[in-house]
Amino acid sequence: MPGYDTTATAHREPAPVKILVAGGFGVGKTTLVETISEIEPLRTEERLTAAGVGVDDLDGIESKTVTTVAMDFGRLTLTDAGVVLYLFGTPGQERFWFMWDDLLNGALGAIVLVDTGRLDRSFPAVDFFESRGLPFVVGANCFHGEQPYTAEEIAAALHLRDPNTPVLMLDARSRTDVRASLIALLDLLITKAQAPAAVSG
Amino acid sequence: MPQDEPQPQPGRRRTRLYALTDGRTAAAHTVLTMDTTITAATGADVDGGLPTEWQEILAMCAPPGGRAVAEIAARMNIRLTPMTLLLGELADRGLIHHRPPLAVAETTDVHLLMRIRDSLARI
Repeated sequence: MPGYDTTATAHREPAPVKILVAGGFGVGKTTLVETISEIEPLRTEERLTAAGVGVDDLDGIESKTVTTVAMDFGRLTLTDAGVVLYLFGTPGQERFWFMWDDLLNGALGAIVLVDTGRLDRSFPAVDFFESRGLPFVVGANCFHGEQPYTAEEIAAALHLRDPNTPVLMLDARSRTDVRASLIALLDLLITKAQAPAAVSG
Repeated sequence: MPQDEPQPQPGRRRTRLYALTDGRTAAAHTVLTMDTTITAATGADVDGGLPTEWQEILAMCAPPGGRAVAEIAARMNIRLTPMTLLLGELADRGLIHHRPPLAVAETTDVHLLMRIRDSLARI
């Protein structure tokens, strides 16, 4: 391969950085991606072979299940930082998404969107990121600009393992709110990076 | 007469993937992930003799910007794994450059994280 432009390319091309957007079905993940993305969200698909793991409602069928998972994603180029943020969200069937190791590999962190009326829908995402050690912030989507619960109440109801996990109130349609949740995630990552010994398992 | 055989869809014929990958079905030497950035090599298709799909991909990720594998897959309407194979083929032939996503050590680099944070605060 030509060696002449390797260095130049490294400086010119922004590095891809992956952030995941999870939460239950219909909680506004794609809306969040759309709000901050510089392109119309795109959808791509992958076929996963799920060897019965976590697939417990297929009438006891133990054989391998091939399933197609989809994800919606957008991007945000941060020229000054030399990175392109890719925000990946799932339109549904998140439990299959969780078997998708490639999605997690190299991800910076995640935003878990919750609808306080259906908190249980966000439990799998919280459990998944906690068990895999991927830092995340919680965003309570306020569909009508109102939120009857406080951040503390939501954190308690989600049984967050790390009490310092940020819980933010946001409107997934608001660019300011979505940006604030990303900044909160970066602040969390910076704190963890500065004190790696303090990370509990 | 068998009635339940799949009928060919009128008007739209999907190109077989092995045709797109020039017969390749095994993994390419170049390992790509969904968040690898692909940039077309300079003068990759000077004589215009490459398959249409390849040309389309090269045009899509023209330098200097480049595009993530996932984005190319989405825009080409091809699933991720076949797309990775195809792009691996292009990389092996020197038609594209690729930039891998950040390594774990980089994702915990405080200076990089601060740069990202500050850039976000300015958008």
